[in-house]
Amino acid sequence: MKVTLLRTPAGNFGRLRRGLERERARVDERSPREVTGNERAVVLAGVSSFTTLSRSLAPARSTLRRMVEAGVPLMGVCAGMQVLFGSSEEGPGRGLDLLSGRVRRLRARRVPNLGWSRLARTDGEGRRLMEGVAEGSYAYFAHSYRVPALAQGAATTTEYRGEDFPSALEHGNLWGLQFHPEVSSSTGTKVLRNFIAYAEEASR
Amino acid sequence: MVAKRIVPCLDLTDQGVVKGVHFRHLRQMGDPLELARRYEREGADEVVLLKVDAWRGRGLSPKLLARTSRELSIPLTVGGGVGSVEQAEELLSAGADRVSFNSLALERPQVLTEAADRFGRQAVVLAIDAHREGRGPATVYARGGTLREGWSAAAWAKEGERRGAGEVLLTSIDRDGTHRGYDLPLLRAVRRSVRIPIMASGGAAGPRSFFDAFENAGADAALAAGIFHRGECTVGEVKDYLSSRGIEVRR
Repeated sequence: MKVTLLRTPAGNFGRLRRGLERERARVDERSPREVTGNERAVVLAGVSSFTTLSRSLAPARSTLRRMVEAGVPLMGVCAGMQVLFGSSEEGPGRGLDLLSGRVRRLRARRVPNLGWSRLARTDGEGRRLMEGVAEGSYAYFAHSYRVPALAQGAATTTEYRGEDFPSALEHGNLWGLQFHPEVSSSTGTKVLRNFIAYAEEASR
Repeated sequence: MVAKRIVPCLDLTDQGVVKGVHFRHLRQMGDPLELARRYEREGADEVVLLKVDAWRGRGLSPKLLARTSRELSIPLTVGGGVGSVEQAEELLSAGADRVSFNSLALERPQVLTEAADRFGRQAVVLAIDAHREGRGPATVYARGGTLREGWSAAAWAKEGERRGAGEVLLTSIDRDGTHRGYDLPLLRAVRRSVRIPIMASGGAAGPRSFFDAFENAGADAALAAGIFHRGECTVGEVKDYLSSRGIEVRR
Protein backbone atom coordinates (compact mmCIF):
# COMPACT_ATOMS: atom_id res chain seq x y z
CA MET A 1 0.00 0.00 0.00
CA LYS A 2 1.37 3.40 -0.95
CA VAL A 3 0.91 6.08 1.70
CA THR A 4 1.76 9.71 1.08
CA LEU A 5 3.47 11.39 4.01
CA LEU A 6 3.40 15.16 3.72
CA ARG A 7 6.72 16.85 4.33
CA THR A 8 6.07 19.74 6.67
CA PRO A 9 8.56 21.77 8.74
CA ALA A 10 10.27 20.24 11.75
CA GLY A 11 7.99 17.22 11.84
CA ASN A 12 9.64 14.09 13.10
CA PHE A 13 8.28 12.42 10.03
CA GLY A 14 11.54 10.48 9.90
CA ARG A 15 10.27 8.30 12.68
CA LEU A 16 6.71 8.26 11.38
CA ARG A 17 8.03 7.19 8.03
CA ARG A 18 9.95 4.30 9.53
CA GLY A 19 6.90 3.35 11.60
CA LEU A 20 4.78 3.13 8.45
CA GLU A 21 7.50 1.24 6.60
CA ARG A 22 7.76 -1.28 9.41
CA GLU A 23 4.11 -2.03 8.74
CA ARG A 24 4.92 -2.57 5.07
CA ALA A 25 3.61 0.67 3.66
CA ARG A 26 5.48 2.17 0.72
CA VAL A 27 5.99 5.72 1.83
CA ASP A 28 5.81 8.49 -0.72
CA GLU A 29 7.19 11.63 0.90
CA ARG A 30 6.17 14.88 -0.72
CA SER A 31 5.69 18.52 0.08
CA PRO A 32 2.18 20.03 0.22
CA ARG A 33 2.93 21.83 -3.08
CA GLU A 34 3.37 18.49 -4.79
CA VAL A 35 -0.04 17.10 -3.79
CA THR A 36 -1.95 16.27 -6.97
CA GLY A 37 -5.21 14.89 -5.61
CA ASN A 38 -4.44 11.41 -6.92
CA GLU A 39 -2.80 10.15 -3.72
CA ARG A 40 -4.38 6.99 -2.32
CA ALA A 41 -3.88 7.74 1.36
CA VAL A 42 -2.35 10.69 3.19
CA VAL A 43 -0.65 11.09 6.56
CA LEU A 44 -0.01 14.50 8.12
CA ALA A 45 2.90 14.45 10.55
CA GLY A 46 3.11 17.13 13.14
CA VAL A 47 5.74 18.04 15.63
CA SER A 48 5.05 21.62 14.95
CA SER A 49 2.75 24.47 15.86
CA PHE A 50 -0.73 24.99 14.43
CA THR A 51 0.38 28.20 12.74
CA THR A 52 3.47 26.72 11.10
CA LEU A 53 1.62 23.62 10.00
CA SER A 54 -1.44 25.38 8.62
CA ARG A 55 0.77 27.79 6.71
CA SER A 56 2.78 24.99 5.18
CA LEU A 57 -0.38 23.07 4.21
CA ALA A 58 -2.01 26.09 2.58
CA PRO A 59 -1.02 25.14 -1.01
CA ALA A 60 -2.69 21.74 -0.58
CA ARG A 61 -5.67 22.89 1.46
CA SER A 62 -8.43 22.77 -1.14
CA THR A 63 -7.08 19.58 -2.74
CA LEU A 64 -6.92 17.80 0.62
CA ARG A 65 -10.47 18.89 1.44
CA ARG A 66 -11.71 17.59 -1.88
CA MET A 67 -9.88 14.29 -1.40
CA VAL A 68 -11.35 13.69 2.04
CA GLU A 69 -14.80 14.43 0.67
CA ALA A 70 -14.17 11.87 -2.07
CA GLY A 71 -13.31 9.24 0.55
CA VAL A 72 -9.49 9.17 0.47
CA PRO A 73 -8.14 8.02 3.87
CA LEU A 74 -6.33 10.81 5.69
CA MET A 75 -4.74 10.57 9.11
CA GLY A 76 -3.36 13.52 11.07
CA VAL A 77 -0.91 12.98 13.92
CA CYS A 78 -0.51 15.38 16.87
CA ALA A 79 -0.53 18.91 15.40
CA GLY A 80 -1.58 17.10 12.20
CA MET A 81 -4.78 16.10 14.01
CA GLN A 82 -5.33 19.61 15.32
CA VAL A 83 -5.02 21.12 11.86
CA LEU A 84 -8.06 19.08 10.73
CA PHE A 85 -10.06 21.69 12.65
CA GLY A 86 -10.65 25.32 11.74
CA SER A 87 -8.54 27.35 14.13
CA SER A 88 -6.45 27.19 17.30
CA GLU A 89 -5.75 29.26 20.38
CA GLU A 90 -2.08 28.50 19.78
CA GLY A 91 -1.84 31.12 17.08
CA PRO A 92 -3.21 32.46 13.82
CA GLY A 93 -3.74 30.21 10.84
CA ARG A 94 -6.55 28.57 8.98
CA GLY A 95 -6.85 24.83 9.50
CA LEU A 96 -8.24 22.38 6.98
CA ASP A 97 -11.68 22.89 8.52
CA LEU A 98 -12.66 19.29 7.91
CA LEU A 99 -14.07 19.17 11.44
CA SER A 100 -15.69 22.08 13.17
CA GLY A 101 -14.45 23.69 16.32
CA ARG A 102 -11.44 25.40 17.78
CA VAL A 103 -8.30 23.81 19.19
CA ARG A 104 -7.68 24.93 22.79
CA ARG A 105 -4.87 24.93 25.28
CA LEU A 106 -5.01 22.22 27.93
CA ARG A 107 -6.48 23.67 31.11
CA ALA A 108 -3.74 22.52 33.49
CA ARG A 109 -1.05 24.98 34.45
CA ARG A 110 1.54 22.31 34.01
CA VAL A 111 2.04 21.77 30.27
CA PRO A 112 3.20 20.22 28.01
CA ASN A 113 1.45 16.95 28.68
CA LEU A 114 4.46 14.79 28.14
CA GLY A 115 4.60 11.05 28.56
CA TRP A 116 2.50 7.91 28.55
CA SER A 117 -1.22 8.06 29.26
CA ARG A 118 -4.10 5.65 28.83
CA LEU A 119 -6.55 5.50 25.94
CA ALA A 120 -10.18 5.05 27.05
CA ARG A 121 -12.48 3.68 24.37
CA THR A 122 -15.68 5.49 23.51
CA ASP A 123 -18.69 3.21 23.07
CA GLY A 124 -19.20 2.13 19.51
CA GLU A 125 -16.66 4.56 18.01
CA GLY A 126 -13.31 4.00 16.34
CA ARG A 127 -13.75 0.33 15.53
CA ARG A 128 -11.27 0.31 12.68
CA LEU A 129 -8.68 2.54 14.25
CA MET A 130 -8.65 0.70 17.58
CA GLU A 131 -8.86 -2.84 16.26
CA GLY A 132 -6.70 -5.08 18.43
CA VAL A 133 -5.85 -2.30 20.89
CA ALA A 134 -6.93 -3.11 24.44
CA GLU A 135 -8.96 -0.69 26.54
CA GLY A 136 -6.63 1.33 28.74
CA SER A 137 -3.53 0.83 26.56
CA TYR A 138 -0.82 3.44 27.01
CA ALA A 139 0.23 5.83 24.26
CA TYR A 140 2.90 8.55 24.19
CA PHE A 141 1.78 12.19 24.21
CA ALA A 142 3.71 15.42 23.78
CA HIS A 143 1.37 18.39 23.42
CA SER A 144 -0.03 21.52 25.06
CA TYR A 145 -3.18 21.94 22.93
CA ARG A 146 -6.20 19.70 22.40
CA VAL A 147 -9.02 19.35 19.90
CA PRO A 148 -12.60 20.13 20.99
CA ALA A 149 -14.94 17.45 22.31
CA LEU A 150 -16.64 15.68 19.42
CA ALA A 151 -20.34 14.90 19.09
CA GLN A 152 -19.31 11.68 17.37
CA GLY A 153 -16.22 9.97 16.09
CA ALA A 154 -14.03 10.20 19.18
CA ALA A 155 -12.48 6.73 19.19
CA THR A 156 -10.71 7.32 22.49
CA THR A 157 -10.39 9.98 25.14
CA THR A 158 -7.49 10.56 27.49
CA GLU A 159 -7.31 12.33 30.80
CA TYR A 160 -4.72 14.96 31.68
CA ARG A 161 -4.87 16.50 35.13
CA GLY A 162 -8.63 16.18 35.42
CA GLU A 163 -9.43 17.12 31.82
CA ASP A 164 -10.68 14.61 29.24
CA PHE A 165 -9.77 15.28 25.63
CA PRO A 166 -10.25 13.29 22.39
CA SER A 167 -7.02 11.37 21.88
CA ALA A 168 -8.01 9.51 18.69
CA LEU A 169 -10.78 10.15 16.23
CA GLU A 170 -12.27 8.18 13.38
CA HIS A 171 -14.78 9.89 11.11
CA GLY A 172 -15.09 7.45 8.27
CA ASN A 173 -12.00 8.08 6.17
CA LEU A 174 -10.76 10.93 8.37
CA TRP A 175 -8.56 9.77 11.25
CA GLY A 176 -6.67 11.74 13.88
CA LEU A 177 -4.30 10.86 16.70
CA GLN A 178 -3.22 13.24 19.42
CA PHE A 179 -0.60 10.72 20.55
CA HIS A 180 2.48 9.71 18.58
CA PRO A 181 1.95 6.24 17.08
CA GLU A 182 5.55 6.13 15.84
CA VAL A 183 6.86 6.04 19.43
CA SER A 184 3.93 4.43 21.23
CA SER A 185 5.39 0.93 21.24
CA SER A 186 2.98 -1.89 20.29
CA THR A 187 -0.13 0.31 20.66
CA GLY A 188 1.18 2.72 18.05
CA THR A 189 2.27 -0.09 15.78
CA LYS A 190 -1.24 -1.55 15.80
CA VAL A 191 -2.88 1.77 14.99
CA LEU A 192 -0.51 2.36 12.06
CA ARG A 193 -1.21 -1.16 10.84
CA ASN A 194 -4.97 -0.50 11.11
CA PHE A 195 -4.66 2.68 9.07
CA ILE A 196 -2.69 0.95 6.33
CA ALA A 197 -5.17 -1.95 6.21
CA TYR A 198 -8.06 0.50 6.01
CA ALA A 199 -6.35 2.54 3.29
CA GLU A 200 -5.73 -0.63 1.33
CA GLU A 201 -9.40 -1.56 1.43
CA ALA A 202 -10.53 1.95 0.62
CA SER A 203 -8.33 2.16 -2.45
CA ARG A 204 -9.63 -1.08 -3.97
CA MET B 1 -2.86 10.27 34.79
CA VAL B 2 0.50 10.40 33.12
CA ALA B 3 2.55 7.35 34.00
CA LYS B 4 5.93 7.93 35.65
CA ARG B 5 8.67 7.25 33.12
CA ILE B 6 11.62 4.92 33.63
CA VAL B 7 14.40 6.02 31.32
CA PRO B 8 17.62 4.10 30.70
CA CYS B 9 20.44 6.34 29.57
CA LEU B 10 23.29 5.45 27.26
CA ASP B 11 26.33 7.63 27.90
CA LEU B 12 28.40 7.51 24.74
CA THR B 13 31.98 8.34 23.89
CA ASP B 14 33.69 7.66 20.58
CA GLN B 15 34.45 4.23 22.05
CA GLY B 16 30.87 3.17 22.85
CA VAL B 17 28.65 3.16 25.92
CA VAL B 18 30.46 4.10 29.13
CA LYS B 19 29.66 4.66 32.77
CA GLY B 20 31.66 6.51 35.39
CA VAL B 21 31.52 8.00 38.85
CA HIS B 22 31.07 11.77 39.32
CA PHE B 23 31.42 12.05 35.50
CA ARG B 24 34.94 10.48 35.65
CA HIS B 25 36.60 7.05 35.56
CA LEU B 26 34.55 5.99 32.56
CA ARG B 27 34.29 2.28 31.86
CA GLN B 28 33.05 0.47 28.79
CA MET B 29 29.54 -0.89 29.02
CA GLY B 30 28.70 -2.34 25.63
CA ASP B 31 27.00 -1.81 22.34
CA PRO B 32 24.45 1.03 22.25
CA LEU B 33 22.10 -0.62 19.80
CA GLU B 34 21.97 -3.85 21.71
CA LEU B 35 21.38 -2.10 25.02
CA ALA B 36 18.64 0.13 23.59
CA ARG B 37 16.84 -2.88 22.16
CA ARG B 38 17.09 -4.73 25.46
CA TYR B 39 15.69 -1.77 27.38
CA GLU B 40 12.70 -1.40 25.09
CA ARG B 41 11.91 -5.10 25.55
CA GLU B 42 12.15 -4.69 29.32
CA GLY B 43 9.55 -1.91 29.21
CA ALA B 44 11.60 1.31 29.13
CA ASP B 45 9.41 4.36 28.45
CA GLU B 46 12.09 6.31 26.62
CA VAL B 47 15.80 6.04 25.94
CA VAL B 48 18.31 8.85 26.34
CA LEU B 49 21.51 8.93 24.28
CA LEU B 50 24.11 11.35 25.60
CA LYS B 51 27.43 12.01 23.90
CA VAL B 52 29.25 12.72 27.14
CA ASP B 53 32.60 13.69 25.62
CA ALA B 54 31.19 15.91 22.87
CA TRP B 55 32.28 19.13 24.59
CA ARG B 56 35.89 18.21 23.82
CA GLY B 57 35.45 16.37 20.56
CA ARG B 58 32.92 14.89 18.23
CA GLY B 59 29.17 15.04 18.64
CA LEU B 60 26.75 12.19 18.30
CA SER B 61 27.05 10.30 15.05
CA PRO B 62 23.87 10.78 12.99
CA LYS B 63 24.43 7.31 11.59
CA LEU B 64 24.38 5.65 14.99
CA LEU B 65 21.38 7.75 15.93
CA ALA B 66 19.49 6.74 12.80
CA ARG B 67 20.26 3.08 13.40
CA THR B 68 19.12 3.25 17.02
CA SER B 69 15.98 5.19 16.17
CA ARG B 70 15.03 2.70 13.46
CA GLU B 71 15.14 -0.10 16.01
CA LEU B 72 13.05 1.61 18.67
CA SER B 73 9.34 2.32 18.89
CA ILE B 74 9.63 4.41 22.04
CA PRO B 75 10.83 8.03 22.27
CA LEU B 76 14.49 8.82 21.93
CA THR B 77 16.03 11.88 23.54
CA VAL B 78 19.54 12.83 22.50
CA GLY B 79 22.10 15.31 23.69
CA GLY B 80 25.69 16.05 24.47
CA GLY B 81 27.53 18.89 22.79
CA VAL B 82 24.61 20.17 20.75
CA GLY B 83 26.17 23.34 19.36
CA SER B 84 23.37 25.05 17.44
CA VAL B 85 19.69 24.94 16.59
CA GLU B 86 20.68 23.67 13.13
CA GLN B 87 22.52 20.78 14.73
CA ALA B 88 19.46 20.03 16.84
CA GLU B 89 17.40 19.95 13.68
CA GLU B 90 19.82 17.46 12.12
CA LEU B 91 19.48 15.23 15.17
CA LEU B 92 15.69 15.44 15.02
CA SER B 93 15.67 14.55 11.36
CA ALA B 94 18.12 11.69 11.95
CA GLY B 95 15.56 10.14 14.28
CA ALA B 96 15.59 11.85 17.67
CA ASP B 97 12.28 12.90 19.20
CA ARG B 98 13.76 15.38 21.63
CA VAL B 99 17.06 17.18 21.92
CA SER B 100 18.71 18.23 25.14
CA PHE B 101 20.71 21.43 25.47
CA ASN B 102 23.28 22.01 28.18
CA SER B 103 26.45 24.11 27.68
CA LEU B 104 25.08 25.93 24.65
CA ALA B 105 21.98 27.04 26.55
CA LEU B 106 24.22 28.46 29.29
CA GLU B 107 26.21 30.41 26.74
CA ARG B 108 23.22 31.56 24.71
CA PRO B 109 19.92 31.00 26.56
CA GLN B 110 17.96 32.26 23.55
CA VAL B 111 18.68 28.97 21.73
CA LEU B 112 15.99 27.43 23.93
CA THR B 113 13.47 29.91 22.56
CA GLU B 114 14.65 29.45 18.99
CA ALA B 115 14.44 25.67 19.33
CA ALA B 116 11.00 25.79 20.99
CA ASP B 117 9.68 28.07 18.25
CA ARG B 118 11.01 25.77 15.61
CA PHE B 119 10.31 22.30 17.03
CA GLY B 120 7.80 22.92 19.81
CA ARG B 121 8.52 23.02 23.51
CA GLN B 122 8.02 19.28 23.93
CA ALA B 123 11.11 18.62 21.80
CA VAL B 124 13.36 20.87 23.90
CA VAL B 125 15.01 19.43 26.99
CA LEU B 126 17.22 21.51 29.26
CA ALA B 127 19.94 19.32 30.74
CA ILE B 128 21.34 20.66 34.00
CA ASP B 129 24.41 19.22 35.68
CA ALA B 130 24.48 20.34 39.30
CA HIS B 131 27.10 20.07 42.03
CA ARG B 132 26.81 21.11 45.64
CA GLU B 133 29.72 22.66 47.50
CA GLY B 134 29.28 22.65 51.24
CA ARG B 135 25.80 23.42 52.42
CA GLY B 136 24.70 25.96 49.85
CA PRO B 137 22.34 25.35 46.95
CA ALA B 138 23.57 23.18 44.09
CA THR B 139 25.16 25.18 41.30
CA VAL B 140 25.20 24.55 37.60
CA TYR B 141 28.21 23.25 35.65
CA ALA B 142 28.86 23.30 31.92
CA ARG B 143 31.13 21.24 29.66
CA GLY B 144 30.67 17.84 31.22
CA GLY B 145 30.87 19.14 34.78
CA THR B 146 34.16 20.99 34.32
CA LEU B 147 33.05 24.62 34.17
CA ARG B 148 31.26 26.31 37.04
CA GLU B 149 28.48 28.71 36.11
CA GLY B 150 26.89 31.41 38.23
CA TRP B 151 23.43 29.88 38.44
CA SER B 152 21.80 27.83 41.14
CA ALA B 153 20.08 24.80 39.64
CA ALA B 154 16.62 26.03 40.64
CA ALA B 155 17.12 29.51 39.19
CA TRP B 156 18.57 28.22 35.95
CA ALA B 157 15.72 25.71 35.56
CA LYS B 158 13.21 28.53 35.97
CA GLU B 159 15.02 30.67 33.43
CA GLY B 160 15.19 27.70 31.05
CA GLU B 161 11.46 27.12 31.38
CA ARG B 162 10.77 30.78 30.68
CA ARG B 163 12.98 30.58 27.59
CA GLY B 164 11.19 27.55 26.13
CA ALA B 165 12.40 24.28 27.65
CA GLY B 166 9.72 21.59 27.84
CA GLU B 167 11.46 19.40 30.40
CA VAL B 168 14.42 19.56 32.75
CA LEU B 169 16.88 16.67 32.83
CA LEU B 170 18.43 17.25 36.23
CA THR B 171 21.66 15.42 36.99
CA SER B 172 23.42 15.46 40.31
CA ILE B 173 27.15 15.23 39.62
CA ASP B 174 27.64 14.37 43.29
CA ARG B 175 25.39 11.34 43.06
CA ASP B 176 26.44 10.17 39.59
CA GLY B 177 27.55 6.53 39.77
CA THR B 178 27.48 6.40 43.57
CA HIS B 179 24.43 4.21 44.30
CA ARG B 180 23.32 6.69 46.96
CA GLY B 181 19.94 7.46 45.47
CA TYR B 182 18.83 10.59 43.63
CA ASP B 183 19.56 13.97 45.21
CA LEU B 184 16.08 14.56 46.62
CA PRO B 185 16.69 18.06 48.04
CA LEU B 186 18.01 19.14 44.63
CA LEU B 187 14.95 17.67 42.91
CA ARG B 188 12.59 19.35 45.36
CA ALA B 189 14.28 22.72 44.92
CA VAL B 190 13.87 22.54 41.14
CA ARG B 191 10.35 21.12 41.48
CA ARG B 192 9.37 24.21 43.45
CA SER B 193 10.75 26.51 40.78
CA VAL B 194 9.28 25.06 37.54
CA ARG B 195 6.04 23.59 36.22
CA ILE B 196 7.49 21.63 33.31
CA PRO B 197 8.29 17.93 33.86
CA ILE B 198 11.52 16.98 35.60
CA MET B 199 13.63 13.93 34.85
CA ALA B 200 15.78 12.90 37.81
CA SER B 201 19.30 11.66 37.11
CA GLY B 202 22.37 10.58 39.07
CA GLY B 203 22.61 8.07 41.88
CA ALA B 204 19.93 5.45 41.21
CA ALA B 205 20.65 2.45 43.44
CA GLY B 206 17.59 0.30 42.91
CA PRO B 207 13.78 0.38 42.69
CA ARG B 208 13.48 2.28 45.96
CA SER B 209 15.45 5.25 44.54
CA PHE B 210 12.87 5.64 41.79
CA PHE B 211 10.05 5.52 44.31
CA ASP B 212 11.67 8.31 46.34
CA ALA B 213 12.23 10.52 43.30
CA PHE B 214 8.58 10.19 42.26
CA GLU B 215 6.82 10.10 45.60
CA ASN B 216 9.06 12.27 47.74
CA ALA B 217 10.52 14.75 45.30
CA GLY B 218 7.91 15.23 42.55
CA ALA B 219 9.94 13.91 39.59
CA ASP B 220 8.00 12.92 36.46
CA ALA B 221 10.65 10.63 35.05
CA ALA B 222 13.80 9.05 36.38
CA LEU B 223 16.89 8.16 34.45
CA ALA B 224 19.44 5.51 35.27
CA ALA B 225 22.39 3.95 33.49
CA GLY B 226 24.81 1.84 35.53
CA ILE B 227 22.28 -0.25 37.43
CA PHE B 228 20.61 -1.23 34.16
CA HIS B 229 23.81 -1.74 32.14
CA ARG B 230 25.30 -3.98 34.82
CA GLY B 231 22.07 -5.91 35.22
CA GLU B 232 21.69 -5.02 38.90
CA CYS B 233 18.02 -4.61 38.20
CA THR B 234 15.80 -4.52 35.13
CA VAL B 235 13.33 -1.86 34.05
CA GLY B 236 10.61 -4.45 34.62
CA GLU B 237 11.66 -5.00 38.23
CA VAL B 238 11.62 -1.27 38.90
CA LYS B 239 8.12 -1.06 37.45
CA ASP B 240 6.88 -4.06 39.46
CA TYR B 241 8.10 -2.43 42.63
CA LEU B 242 6.61 0.99 41.82
CA SER B 243 3.30 -0.50 40.83
CA SER B 244 3.14 -2.51 44.06
CA ARG B 245 3.64 0.76 45.95
CA GLY B 246 0.81 2.49 44.12
CA ILE B 247 2.78 4.49 41.54
CA GLU B 248 1.34 4.50 38.04
CA VAL B 249 3.70 3.09 35.43
CA ARG B 250 3.10 1.89 31.90
CA ARG B 251 2.75 -1.89 31.72
